[in-house]
Amino acid sequence: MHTHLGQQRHIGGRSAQARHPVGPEGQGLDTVVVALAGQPNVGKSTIFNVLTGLTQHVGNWPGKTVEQKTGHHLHQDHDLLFVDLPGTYSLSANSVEERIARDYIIKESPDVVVAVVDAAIPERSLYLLAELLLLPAPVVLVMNMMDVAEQEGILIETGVLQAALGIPVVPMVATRNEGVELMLDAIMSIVDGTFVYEPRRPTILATHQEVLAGLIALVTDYVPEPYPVPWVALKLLEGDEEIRGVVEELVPENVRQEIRAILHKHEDAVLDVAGARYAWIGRMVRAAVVRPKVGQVGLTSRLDTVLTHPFWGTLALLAALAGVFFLTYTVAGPVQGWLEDLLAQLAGGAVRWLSALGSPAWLSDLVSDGLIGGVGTVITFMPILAIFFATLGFLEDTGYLARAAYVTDRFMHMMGLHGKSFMPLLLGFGCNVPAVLGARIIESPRARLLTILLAPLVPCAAQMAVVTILGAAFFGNAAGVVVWSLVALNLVALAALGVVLNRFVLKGEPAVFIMELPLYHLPNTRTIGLYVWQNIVAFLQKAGSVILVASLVVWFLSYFPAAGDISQSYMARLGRAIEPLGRLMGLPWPVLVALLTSFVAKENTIATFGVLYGDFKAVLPTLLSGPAALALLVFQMLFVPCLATVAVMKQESGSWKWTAIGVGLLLVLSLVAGIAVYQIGSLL
Amino acid sequence: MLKRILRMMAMGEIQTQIELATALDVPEPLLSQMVAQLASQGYLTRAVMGADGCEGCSLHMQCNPDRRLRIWTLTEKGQRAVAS
Repeated sequence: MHTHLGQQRHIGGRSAQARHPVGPEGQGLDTVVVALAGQPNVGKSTIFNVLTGLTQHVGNWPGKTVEQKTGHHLHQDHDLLFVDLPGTYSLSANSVEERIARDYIIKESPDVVVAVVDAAIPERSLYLLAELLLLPAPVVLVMNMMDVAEQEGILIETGVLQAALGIPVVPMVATRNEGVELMLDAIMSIVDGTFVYEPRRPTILATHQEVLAGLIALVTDYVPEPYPVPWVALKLLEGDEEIRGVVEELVPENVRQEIRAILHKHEDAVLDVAGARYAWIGRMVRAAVVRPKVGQVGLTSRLDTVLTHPFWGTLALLAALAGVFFLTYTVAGPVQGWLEDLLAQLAGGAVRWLSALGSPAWLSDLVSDGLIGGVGTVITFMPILAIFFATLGFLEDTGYLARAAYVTDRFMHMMGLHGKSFMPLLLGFGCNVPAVLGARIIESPRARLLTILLAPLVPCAAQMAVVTILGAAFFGNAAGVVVWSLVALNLVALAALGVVLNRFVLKGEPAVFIMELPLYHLPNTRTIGLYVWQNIVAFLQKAGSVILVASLVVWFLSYFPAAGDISQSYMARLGRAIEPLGRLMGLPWPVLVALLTSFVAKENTIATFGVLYGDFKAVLPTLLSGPAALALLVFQMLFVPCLATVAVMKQESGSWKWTAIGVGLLLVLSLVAGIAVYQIGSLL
Repeated sequence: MLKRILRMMAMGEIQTQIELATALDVPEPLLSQMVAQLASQGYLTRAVMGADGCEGCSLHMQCNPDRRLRIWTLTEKGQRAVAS
């Protein structure tokens, strides 16, 4: 038995009625049932608490473990029963909360639904409103957190929005109890019929209206009360699995087949149905929401106008890279010097200790030159890597690296490279192996192959560490500029090779991706610390495995068969065989051998120098001229990828021919560049 | 509106959500929501940085240059929708 409030109203095909009192406060009064709907974190609970206070009843929704809260509020001699619906983003049955919310509104027919929206980001909540308006219950829109919107410079013209939507719109700051009375008045204006409720609902495109009409005709006789037939048909068209399951159980086989045929033919109708709702939201927002003008925009937008700009963004990227290298040298350099001193003392101590024990000379040599000279030298990279990763971690945590990716991507587009290739190539800055493997995300075989061929030109972290150490040894204070130029050289070589190959291998396939750039924020020291720690540990693991083995092999080849006379060693024989090539770059054979060992792992160049020269940072500058040193660095940067990368190139391309072409291209490129640098440099 | 997003992505001239939002004349938060919906319905997928086999690598931490960067690509379903 229901007590009617005022005249019976017909809204969306249903009759709205007030209810008998449910709670103690409402005894003897008409009860108006009000459902509170909204996304999580829009202040719905605050409103509920402000209104219901101690009258709240907390339980579970029938048959569900989701909390149900109800409570009463007395307003103008009416008992309002508020039902707090679970927070939902839509009513599409994607979650149990969404099913509860829509089932409640359909089956329990509340007198009014209050849709709570975060006024600072109204677009996010209006999709839910668009769906609520399709259900048979009148809706009051509450724009909560108007104070936050104001702080953000967002102006919500609630009057305009009300006129555009045709439903009551109430501004509110629930935390300050502002607008609550207005909301209660708006609810009562719906209930007593003083507000002319004429919602302007989103419509669907003409192309699908006939399809919808067809579905409505098919299901009309089978949809049970209180489900609105047009809503059920629309949900079918949207691909709502729950509604489809229910309908398929209710309709006879021939109708089921017809429905299936229609839905199969219009599989993508959801794009038009949901798309029309977003277009509707866009119109509402344009009509009633005024966003900050240029100059008042947020920090992220302001920074992005510079940092993602084609010219200024590129300059900023180059400056950021220069900053990374500058910090790496100025901070890590001295620490690395201390580590080297420590290492020298350790080697000396080990040799003395072994001699005292009467161990053979080769064992002392193995420990001091092979182990400490090879692996130990690589471990002195640690300060450089720590600073390198700390600065990268800082840039990442602030949100800048995403912009760097954006700027790099545009740069590659300009050079005629495949846009989607940017992702795997970006990985190459860490390690070339995942860069090559990552090319799998590219659908086109030709584009994938091009990316595989180019990936090794991205300087990996190990290569960066090697040129950082050698750059400091050869060029002192100018090392930062030199290394920065080497990175630029590699990227230019990558782009140039890409353009050339693109012209012959790939012909302008479009990129199909978009990036969602994160907001800038202050970096977290813990996050950066963890990032640095994990990378250092990973590096030490590598030093203890691949580099250890390679160092021992290099030591063996340089010690035997002449018992320590390196000039008569296996290594010397190999080096002398290729020495004529080295002469063109001004490089003696031990340097060439060190470069060759980088084929196992890039860091081995340093480890080999450590084995062959001991204090190579002091020795090498006396052996190599400026042009030769530069040729060495250029050769190292452009040289063939490491063994692991070559292996995955073969695996991913599935072709020895293309693997050989890729490796051969880089070998030729590195030789030509190294020779050119030395020969031209010697003429100057 | 959603189909336009897929079409514009397929054209390959748009790189970020901000650019896409500007081209469609919609606020970026709304575009984010649309992209999320397209992803939930299988038209877009979030590109994963890294590759098969990276899990066992001691250097895998170095591979993802920005873990907060989200990159969306068209799925086969998305490409079919564009072509239809």
